[in-house]
Amino acid sequence: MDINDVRGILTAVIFFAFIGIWVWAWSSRRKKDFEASAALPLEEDTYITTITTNKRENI
Amino acid sequence: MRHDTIEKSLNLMVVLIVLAISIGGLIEIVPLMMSSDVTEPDEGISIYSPLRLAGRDVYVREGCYNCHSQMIRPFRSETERYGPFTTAGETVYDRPFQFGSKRTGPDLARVGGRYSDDWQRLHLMDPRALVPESNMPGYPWLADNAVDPELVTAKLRALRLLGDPYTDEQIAGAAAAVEGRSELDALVAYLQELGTNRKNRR
Amino acid sequence: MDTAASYNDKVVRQFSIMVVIWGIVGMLVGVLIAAQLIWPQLNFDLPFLTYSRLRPLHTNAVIFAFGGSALFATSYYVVQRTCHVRLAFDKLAAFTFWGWQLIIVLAAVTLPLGITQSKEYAELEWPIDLLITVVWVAYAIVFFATIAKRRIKHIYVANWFYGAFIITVAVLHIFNNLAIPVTLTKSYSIYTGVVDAMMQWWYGHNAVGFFLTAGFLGMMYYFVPKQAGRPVYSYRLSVVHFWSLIAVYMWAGPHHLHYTSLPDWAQTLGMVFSIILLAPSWGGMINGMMTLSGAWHKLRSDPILKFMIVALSFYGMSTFEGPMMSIKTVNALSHYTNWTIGHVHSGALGWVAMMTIGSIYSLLPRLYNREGMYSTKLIDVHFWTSTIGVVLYAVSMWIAGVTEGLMWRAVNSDGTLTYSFVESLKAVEPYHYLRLLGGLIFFSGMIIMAYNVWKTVIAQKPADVAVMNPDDMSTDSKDGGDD
Repeated sequence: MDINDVRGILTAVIFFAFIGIWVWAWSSRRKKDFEASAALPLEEDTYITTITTNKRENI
Repeated sequence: MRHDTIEKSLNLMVVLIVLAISIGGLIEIVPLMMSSDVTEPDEGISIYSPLRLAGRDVYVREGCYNCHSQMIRPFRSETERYGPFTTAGETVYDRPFQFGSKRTGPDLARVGGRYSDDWQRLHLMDPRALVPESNMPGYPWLADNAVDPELVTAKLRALRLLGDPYTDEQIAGAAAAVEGRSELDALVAYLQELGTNRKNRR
Repeated sequence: MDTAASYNDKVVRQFSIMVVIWGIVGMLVGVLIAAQLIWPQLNFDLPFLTYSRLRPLHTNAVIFAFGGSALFATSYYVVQRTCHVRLAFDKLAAFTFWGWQLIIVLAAVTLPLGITQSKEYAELEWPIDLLITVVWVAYAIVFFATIAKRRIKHIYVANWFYGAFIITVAVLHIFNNLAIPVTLTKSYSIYTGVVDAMMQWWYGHNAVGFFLTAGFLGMMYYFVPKQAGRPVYSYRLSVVHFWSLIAVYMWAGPHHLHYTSLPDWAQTLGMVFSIILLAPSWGGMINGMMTLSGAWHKLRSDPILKFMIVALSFYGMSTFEGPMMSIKTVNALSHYTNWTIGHVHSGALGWVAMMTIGSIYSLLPRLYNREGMYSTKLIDVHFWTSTIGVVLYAVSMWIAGVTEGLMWRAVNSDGTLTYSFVESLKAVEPYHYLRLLGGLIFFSGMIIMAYNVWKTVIAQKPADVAVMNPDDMSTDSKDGGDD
């Protein structure tokens, strides 16, 4: 097996890995997980210390 | 157990990331390291003499590579301006390489012998005395700094450790070769030999 | 109070403040060296104020001090919020803060002294490299241990980007900096010539790809949805473009060595993969832009969103320009010229700095339990100074670069060169002035930011935030808070 066989095999492996990622990402089993994850940044913090009112000062 | 699968998926992610980032580097770098085209010196190319090595390290320290490349590309406009294009075999004793990435000033790969020693010395001290339009900084302190002979000896030892073919005699004589020389002397010695050792000069 | 019940925001606050300080320092050095190119007298014949020693200080300060602090701050914040746990190992996290600041101070001392390895963005000498390695390993332990103890099944995509950035930067840093020490302040690379160049640009390109791209995409994937009040446009796309991006980036390094004595096969690989890289790069840009679509009306009232949309625009533009410049015939013109400097700054100022600034403006009020920054108006002023500054900078450097490239290759009918080198230097001088002006305007925005940040943080004692209980997690908020 020479270097060109290695290159060919590697190209095929990378190609199938790429297809695999698409299939995995678009499978319906992932949909619910992804939606739950995508909502994570939208959660709001709960402060423990007493919250004092501090209206934004407009200048 | 649920916690178990969570751990696994993190490990899996890390392993897959390492795999994904390794392939490119391995394929481009490993064959290069094993290629004699880029690891064997061209005819006439040899290790740096102690004074030139000290000069090269001044070049590195002052950051000359920020404005000057040492890599002539194979275009007619470049070979016309700077001389024959640079080959891999000319750079095999360069630790680190000094190709540069920006030419605020001209390429220096073959600057050796283009100007007199006096021109180089004056130009390094006060560039605008010789080239009024130049925006290069002056490096007047180089004339006042002496090259440290012991340090040069230590440098040769380190380079031999890395495989550069310095002989015992060369290392023993290194201190004497730079004794009493200024950093300016060393830098000019380095510049004046840049690109001059290749056999087939035009 | 039970500390496990609250998030570790102290380290986030520390890094966030340093983002502003190091941003000002790094950009001030940038303004100085831009002025030195016009008035070389400003070198004052002093070694430690000389351009060639200060340029690495500028690049290191902006990338590792400003950008690095932003990545530490936001990754520590994001990983806690999206994993619903406190950051692992308080003391180790504190060590990463003080360790990183020490590294920055050491860099600020050693680089002007001429202590350098001369490999771009890897100039720091071996003792500092060792310290970087230790701090980085601590960073990886804190980050991944936090993910390991998360109370949410899936790992949010921003953490994938941060994780890949942490792992890859460790690999790049270690292999590129392998050297034999001579003294405490001098070492020799174990690689020579072309191999050394290949290692360096494998490192250098991926410092851009992972430090300045993957890490900042992690920031984007949290703070853009947060600020827009909408979930990321396509989570699936983010997954696909993540794997493509990290795999393809690692091949593109050789485009920094086109037409050098690097063998042709390596140059060709570098060029091909650089062009492919356009697709995953734009995957990120499109995803960010589309997340904002439907929230366009918010752009009128929210300058933070404006920072983010312009950052994404510059990201899209730079990642188009990059592949174009890696085409060998284009590179033949652009390489060694100011075009490269323009490209770098449209990425570093347009993408990295503007995404950082937007994210910090979004983050700081949350860290200090305020509704918003001290002044929204000043954020808007900052937005305009940044935008005008970066456009002036990039445009002047493009014109200068093309001018230089064309003048260097111009030949007369008899085959002799038309212009001497110094004529090309004179020709671009007006653009040096324009660039300095652009840089100054961008820098002035950072001063405005510092004032705004100062007024925000002194007005309010920092508040502890309760770690979210997994049961409280809202799964039905996917439509977001789009009013």
